[in-house]
Amino acid sequence: MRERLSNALSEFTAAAALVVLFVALSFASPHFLTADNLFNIGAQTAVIAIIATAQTMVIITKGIDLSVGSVAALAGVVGAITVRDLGFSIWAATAVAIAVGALAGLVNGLLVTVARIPPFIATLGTMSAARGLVFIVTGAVGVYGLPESFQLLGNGQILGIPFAVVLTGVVAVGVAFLLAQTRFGQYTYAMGSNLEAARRSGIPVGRHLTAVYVLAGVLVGLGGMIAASRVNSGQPNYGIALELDVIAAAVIGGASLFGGQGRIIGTLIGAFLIALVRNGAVLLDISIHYQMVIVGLIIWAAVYFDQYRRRRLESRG
Amino acid sequence: MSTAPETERSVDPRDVTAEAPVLEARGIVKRFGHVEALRGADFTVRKAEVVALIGDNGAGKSTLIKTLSGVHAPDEGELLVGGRPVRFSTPVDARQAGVETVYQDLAVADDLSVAANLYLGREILRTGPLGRLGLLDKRAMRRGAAEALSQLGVRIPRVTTPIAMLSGGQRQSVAVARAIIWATSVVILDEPTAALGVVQTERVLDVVRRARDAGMSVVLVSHNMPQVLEIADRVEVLRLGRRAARFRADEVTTDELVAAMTGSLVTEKEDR
Amino acid sequence: MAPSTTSNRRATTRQRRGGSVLAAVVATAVLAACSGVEVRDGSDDQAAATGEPTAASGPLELAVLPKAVGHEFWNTVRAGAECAAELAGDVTVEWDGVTAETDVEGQVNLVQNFVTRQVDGIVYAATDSTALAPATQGALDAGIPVAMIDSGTDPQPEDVPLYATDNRAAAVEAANLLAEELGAGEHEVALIEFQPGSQTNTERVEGFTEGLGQHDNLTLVGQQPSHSDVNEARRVTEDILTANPNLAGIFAANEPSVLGAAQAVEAAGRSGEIVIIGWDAAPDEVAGLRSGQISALVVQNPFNMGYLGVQNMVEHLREGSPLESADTGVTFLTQENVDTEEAQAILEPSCDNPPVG
Repeated sequence: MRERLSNALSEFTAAAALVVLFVALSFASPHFLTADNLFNIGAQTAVIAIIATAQTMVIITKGIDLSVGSVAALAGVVGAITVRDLGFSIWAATAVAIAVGALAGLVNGLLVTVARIPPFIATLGTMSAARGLVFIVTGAVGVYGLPESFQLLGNGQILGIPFAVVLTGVVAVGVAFLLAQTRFGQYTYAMGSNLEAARRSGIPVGRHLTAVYVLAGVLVGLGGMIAASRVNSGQPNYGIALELDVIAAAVIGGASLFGGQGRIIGTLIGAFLIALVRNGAVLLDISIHYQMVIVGLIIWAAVYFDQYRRRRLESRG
Repeated sequence: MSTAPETERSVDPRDVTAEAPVLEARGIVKRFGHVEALRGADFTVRKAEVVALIGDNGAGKSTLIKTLSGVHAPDEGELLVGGRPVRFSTPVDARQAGVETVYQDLAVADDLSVAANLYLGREILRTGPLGRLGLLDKRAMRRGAAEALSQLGVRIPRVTTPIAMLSGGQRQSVAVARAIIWATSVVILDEPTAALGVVQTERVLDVVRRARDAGMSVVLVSHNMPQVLEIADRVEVLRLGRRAARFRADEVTTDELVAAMTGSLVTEKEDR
Repeated sequence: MAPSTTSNRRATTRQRRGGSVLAAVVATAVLAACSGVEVRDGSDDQAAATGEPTAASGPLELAVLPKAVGHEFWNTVRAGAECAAELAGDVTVEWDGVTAETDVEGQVNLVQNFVTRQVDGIVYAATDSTALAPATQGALDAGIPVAMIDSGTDPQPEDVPLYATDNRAAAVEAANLLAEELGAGEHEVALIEFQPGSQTNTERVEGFTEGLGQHDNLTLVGQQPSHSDVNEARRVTEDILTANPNLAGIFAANEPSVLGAAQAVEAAGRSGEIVIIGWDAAPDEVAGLRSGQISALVVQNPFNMGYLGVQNMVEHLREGSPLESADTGVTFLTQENVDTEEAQAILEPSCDNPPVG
């Protein structure tokens, strides 16, 4: 099916880059192609992949969510606090963390749809406010002293597969299905592609856009909880600059900041491409400075390709 | 919805045998601040006819169109669909009354496929519980889209192609087809061929003719006089926010149309 | 204390309104009469006699700025600063900071804001030694004395003291400790640094590599930063472990780096096998030390930094004593000495038993 040929093109490029890098690393380091390392990469990338999935939904609507890092930190520390101070189970704490994320998403959604503040500005405000709340609820100290069970989401395993990886798979498949096969997904692409056309087609754009931000918030809350669980503590400084990583993952995977385009499979490829660069760099003991340059080059290449493709399509139209 | 009382229908003396017009505007007044864009405008569309709405810039064409399609609510006057008074507060109201509009640039979502665009806002869902979850029946939509397009003579490679991959003429044909498929009484086309070449224009006009032949009424806003005379059955001329003249397209010349637009030829009464 | 507090407030109000020497003298009289603190009498007389700014004669307001809020370390600095303020009496500590250590410009602005507010003194830790030098100078030019804690500026003005850990010397010791724990034979070691480019990070990295240079049997096979993020520290350590199956020792240079490294080693099932020398003493780090995950911790005395910074600043303002730099010292915490009284005073510093002097 060539329904989204243009998406498939940049996904193909990103996937090709991923494969090339994978093969290259397999030769460059004897430790790369081991089950342990691959599971490690999976677990390391889980949180970024889940939050990048959320970001992709927002980007498809022609929006952007800068608040993901702060909201993830808020969800993580609130979840950790409910376990430490209120004796919540990890599951109850996760529900609370997800609720925190959903609430932040609702705020973002209402700011965008009701207050009509551009997404960049609205979520910039949320980014700052949520980080402030993190420091207020933690007193600016990490939340420690958590029971062993708190590590389940981040460090547990199911049939030998990291639980975080399983969760990422469930989230990715679920959101991909939602976007590709349901009316919710159809509206999401339509709004990002041509908001006015969507409105005049009778789509309740305000309600639907808010729903997208809320769902994104749910995933960010889950991601924040996994991150906290992984380090068995609520870290007030978690997620600073996380929004850049997840936006990069989405863009590398073919999501367009002009809206209307992007698929979860592409975003996952983007997230793992970045993860491979970082993993490979450590395996080969390459300095962090070069890693950052390489990731930057990949973003440039991906966005340039996106622009190039759009220009060609437009010249045909 | 409608709060206006059922009024005695005033019958056009020159057309006493016709059934009620499918869409009629009477004495529409629309003000924007101190500017009166429409000053008692009338407009009539009958079944299975193409009516061209023409007028000089600033005559009130686009305000009238937006009133007919529910974007603007009129300050005075009334709208009737099939003889019944209606009130459109949103474009959705107009669509529910069977009036579909194709706007110049706002017609389609470029990133969605042809089929998805044709069904935008009216998606076919799967039957049963899956449908209640919002699951799309993509196959049914593809089939429906392909059928409808072939009936209208719209030729595109395949209904799964994103709109962005189509030519301007194909894109506009899809937009027009979309309106025709869903309209039950009237399709309003605002400058549908303004940005198109000769061949592409002909394709779009062909779609319009087929729709008319199938019993649809079409309102065409255009600046192109030869085109108006080629496709329209009737022409209504708007001048200074009012209807200035009405013609049968086969009885009028381009010069007369221009005269009506500039005010040197009037067929309507100055005062009601 | 109640009556003195009330009168202090009255004095403050009057001073701000009039700001005259006369008001200061009256305030001094009221203070002397009500609070009966002898030390003050002397300094106040001096201030009044020399016509110095009247700030010295009344309550003091000091801005104390960490590099960033959000870590155990800086909260201990704060406790020390507030302890010194409480002991000195009538000193208000304005604790404020940027949220990320990398927000250098934010800190420059913060310092400037406190200069504009005309606080009596500024005690702070520079996020960047060069970038903050003008901010310090700006405060001095405005007649506000400055004391640096933890990290100073470059150049450091002569009359600005630094109360800090000698990071380089302590990091050299950390390398020696690592060599000692690993014993004879060839060993591969890794370094988890935190914020490449920051002064403190550079000093610890240089100190550690300098220390390694004295032990030919140790080879540095991996060096990655954590950006002070536990998740990031864990990730890079996991990858280093993957790349170097024979890794024998890790030096992690701050709290998040240590926690992440210990978790990665634990997850790899190699706890106790790999020697971890850490830095700082957050509760989870100490727990790791007790359980044997971590072999030793280089523990600074952040309480002392805050304490000395505020104490000396107050003495300078009230008695005119010169400000002089001091090393706040480090303690090497191991499983053996973690429960000693001296270690506990460092770990759980309180104003009842301050780990100072």
